[in-house]
Amino acid sequence: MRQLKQTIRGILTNKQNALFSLIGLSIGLSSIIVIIIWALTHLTFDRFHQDAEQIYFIQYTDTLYNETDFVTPFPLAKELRERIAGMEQTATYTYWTDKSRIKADGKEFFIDLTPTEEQMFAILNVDFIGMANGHVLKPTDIALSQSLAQTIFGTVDCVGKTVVLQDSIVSQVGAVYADFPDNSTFKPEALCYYSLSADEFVHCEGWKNWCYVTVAKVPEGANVDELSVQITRLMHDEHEINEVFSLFPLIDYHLQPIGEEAMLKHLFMVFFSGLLVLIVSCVNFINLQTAVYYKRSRQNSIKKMLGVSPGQLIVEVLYESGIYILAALFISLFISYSLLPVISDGLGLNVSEVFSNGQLIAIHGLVAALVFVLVSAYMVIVVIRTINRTSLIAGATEKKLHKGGQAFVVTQFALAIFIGIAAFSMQKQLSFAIKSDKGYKSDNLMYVETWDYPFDDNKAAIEEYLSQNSKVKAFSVCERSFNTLGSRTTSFTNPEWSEEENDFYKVLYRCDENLFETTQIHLVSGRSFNPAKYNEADNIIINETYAKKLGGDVVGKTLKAGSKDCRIIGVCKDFQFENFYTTIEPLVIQYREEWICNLLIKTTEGSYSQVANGLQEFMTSRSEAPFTIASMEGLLSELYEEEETQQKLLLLFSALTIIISCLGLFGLTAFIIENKTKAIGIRKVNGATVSQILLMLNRNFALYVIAAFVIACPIAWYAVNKWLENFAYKTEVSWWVFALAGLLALVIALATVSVQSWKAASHNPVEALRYE
Amino acid sequence: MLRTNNLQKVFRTEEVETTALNNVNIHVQKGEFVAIMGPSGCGKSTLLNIIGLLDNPTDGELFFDGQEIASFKERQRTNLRKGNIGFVFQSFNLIDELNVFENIEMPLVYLKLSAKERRERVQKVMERMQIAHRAKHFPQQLSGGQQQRVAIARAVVASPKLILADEPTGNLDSRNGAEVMNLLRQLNEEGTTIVMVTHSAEHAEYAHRTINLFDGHVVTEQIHQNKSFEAVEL
Ligand SMILES: Nc1ncnc2c1ncn2[C@@H]1O[C@H](COP(=O)(O)OP(=O)(O)OP(=O)(O)O)[C@@H](O)[C@H]1O
Ligand SMILES: [Mg+2]
Repeated sequence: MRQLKQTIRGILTNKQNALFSLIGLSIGLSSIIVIIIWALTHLTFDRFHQDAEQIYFIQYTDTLYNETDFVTPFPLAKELRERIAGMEQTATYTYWTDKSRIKADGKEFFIDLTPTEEQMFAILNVDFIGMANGHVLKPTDIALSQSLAQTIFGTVDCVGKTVVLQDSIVSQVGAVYADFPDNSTFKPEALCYYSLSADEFVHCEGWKNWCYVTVAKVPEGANVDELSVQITRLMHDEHEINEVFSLFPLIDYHLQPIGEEAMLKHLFMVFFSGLLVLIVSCVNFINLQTAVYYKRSRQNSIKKMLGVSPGQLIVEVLYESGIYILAALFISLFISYSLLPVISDGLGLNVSEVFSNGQLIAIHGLVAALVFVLVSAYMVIVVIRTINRTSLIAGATEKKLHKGGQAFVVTQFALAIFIGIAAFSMQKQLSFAIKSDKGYKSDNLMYVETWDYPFDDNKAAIEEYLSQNSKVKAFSVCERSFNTLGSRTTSFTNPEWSEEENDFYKVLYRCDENLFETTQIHLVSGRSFNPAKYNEADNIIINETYAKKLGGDVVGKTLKAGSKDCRIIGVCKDFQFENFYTTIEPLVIQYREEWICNLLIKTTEGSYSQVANGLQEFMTSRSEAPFTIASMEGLLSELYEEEETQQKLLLLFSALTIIISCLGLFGLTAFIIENKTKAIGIRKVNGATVSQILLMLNRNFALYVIAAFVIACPIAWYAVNKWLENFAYKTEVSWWVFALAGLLALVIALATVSVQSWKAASHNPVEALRYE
Repeated sequence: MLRTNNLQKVFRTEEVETTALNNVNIHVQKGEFVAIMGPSGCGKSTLLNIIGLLDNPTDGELFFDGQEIASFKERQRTNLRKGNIGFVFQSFNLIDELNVFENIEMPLVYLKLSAKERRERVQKVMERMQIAHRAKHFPQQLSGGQQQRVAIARAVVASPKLILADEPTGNLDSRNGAEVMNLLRQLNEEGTTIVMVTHSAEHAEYAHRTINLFDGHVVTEQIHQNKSFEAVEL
């Protein structure tokens, strides 16, 4: 207790230093903790299922293009259940559900109904809260999630109520289950069996159609590779399917969904930057504490003369670090809890639902304990190393910024500059990706996706509505928006080429004659579709990339698509229809009027929201079925959402490291200048001007930042180039980004230092020399 | 060379207001050696600092070489001080991180002399002060007497017209004290004007004249009979 009191009093004698140490430490702790929470949320995805690591998706890899996907034929699950002995359980379910219309209590709703097999319940944890007839969902029942039951019936107490699906299928609510947690891949709103209506739910039967997902549970310790081989062999031998089958762990699904950028990379990068902030803050803490320790060396040598043992000095230092870290722990707890809603928002799930309070506090405690061990270990080393030097005389002369301190300041600034360069470069690339010439004009461009909206029935009315709207410049009925153009085909081959030469994918896009006007894609040669004048059924337009591949002058040439001959009537300029990671692929645009049901609309300048609102109202008035209206630019920036979060985080981390570094610098300058007050006075008496003193004081700090810059540059150069390699279309690494980051660091550092050095330099020398 | 007219210095802190100097009129002639004596706290150091242009008076006039300088700005004072006035303090006030040579060299650096000229001048003054063999030593490695000789060397290296010494022998034993006094007398004989604050009547005897201060006033002035100083200029 006495020790505690003395330690706290000791801390408070250097109030400014105490404050800076604490702020720095708290920032470091909370940033890493927030990131750990965020990372854990990702890593614990789907782990709540019982025996989660025994659950797998069945995936296949096609032998020709090496593409992997999760879709499987409908009968696969049943076949595996019956034929593969080593499989504990398998079930089919529909992953991409259509919106189902449901009528209940005289009201109508559109819901995502997931049809599955009863074996599903033996694989995944479904937490039933209301269940009729013992514990089985009857073949003709449906199960509702708690929140859906609330929406439809206003109560979870609805088991036994009758509902009508798609106007004709009569069913009963057989069960209500607790909503799946946010960190679950499997999150159905409502469940039923395929047996409820095979007509409605099993669209593509047999072994030839692949549009269902198969989940499997294997026995504990099962040899998964062996199982994969068995499946592959079974499919090959009995169903003439030559794809290679394998099992993909459910618990990895969230991190590496197929076809998306590797989530782990992103996770690692953010975690790493957060770790850097923590390191910088620990370094800052150690640095300030060492300075305080040296300042006290005189006091400590007096203590030594009075008989204090070295062990006692070490205990004092441990106490002190402990108090700081405890305080920082409380502050970071406060910070993380206030940030939880923000993190939840960013993650799109509720963090407090994923972690209990106890777990959250445990995370904080663990990190704080780790930091304590690291920090106090260093402080103990400092004590031991100086213990023999703490004579009275040496104590009075320990005045310069210790060597370690210089290295620390340089390290801190090097890290800050490095992260800063990374953030600026990323920003540059992202704005390039979104703003640069994509080959079409995305401004005032609107994309309407009609999902289950009865588009064909209302097509004429909508087209008329749009044609009469003076704010609409042009519109086109088309297949998809340009952020993911979609389906690929090996068809549309050059009849003069061999099979191998023709063996590459072309992207296929279908639209009406207005696409080019709406998106302002230029035609390089030939003409656009003109159905009023020609029969366009077998006519196509290709992009420049494909035209070049075919040998340039291709208008009038025919390509083979199956048995059909398709004539190239035009070549359009290349435009971007994927993200900037991929190069532009060969593209075939086909004229089509039926079976395409989405819209691209170009509005006049500034009337985007007016048109969107009007259309929303008009379409809703004709049918209540769902559809979405999105701006093209919004969709494009969604493509880089992950990068954008990364970049924002980096910028934040860079700012945090700079802030922490400046706190440290400010604290250190205070010590240095305190030690130099007398020397400054003497120099002024001997003719030094204020600016000369200022120069003398600031020069060293400028040198530290320059050294940091020299260290950070090559590393940043390498890292940024590495990152940019991911993009097919990228900006240059520019020197001004480096210069800007370095200059900013220099200006900020010098401003921090100058606040104090100016005060010291303009101080009356008489004051400085008065007390001796 | 130096004259004050009703010089006044008031220190104001939050609680108290101290009048350190009150209507001080003194006059120091070129080539003169003047001692200032008085009880502790009577304002001797304050007076010296004002004469030495380290501090501004609250009121009154100060003439240096006939020029009124009481209202000079910091920069002007610094410029006038450089090369014209040298200081010696009781506590030596050497910079710990600099060695003897560098300590002595400092005023020349701020006078922007060339390195070669600096080296020559420092060498000469070190030999004269008998500390040349200590050139590479740091202040803590020197005795008090040696440190004060370094401080005097630094005060004279720029050949100033005026040397101000605030209790230069205060921290020294009698032998070292006498040595320092002899050095100062020599410098004075070579033409440097010296104003020295001292508590020692014996050391005051080295001067031509003693000014006695009490509570911020000049109480008496006493001309030492055994000294003869003829005013060159008034
Ligand atoms: N910066 C200051 N702020 C407030 N009061 C001051 C300041 N400097 C000097 N004084 C006061 O002015 C008076 C004269 O101080 P000064 O240092 O000139 O005395 P001194 O004659 O040199 O004394 P000593 O012989 O002890 O050195 C003292 O009362 C002192 O407390
Ligand atoms: Mg004094």
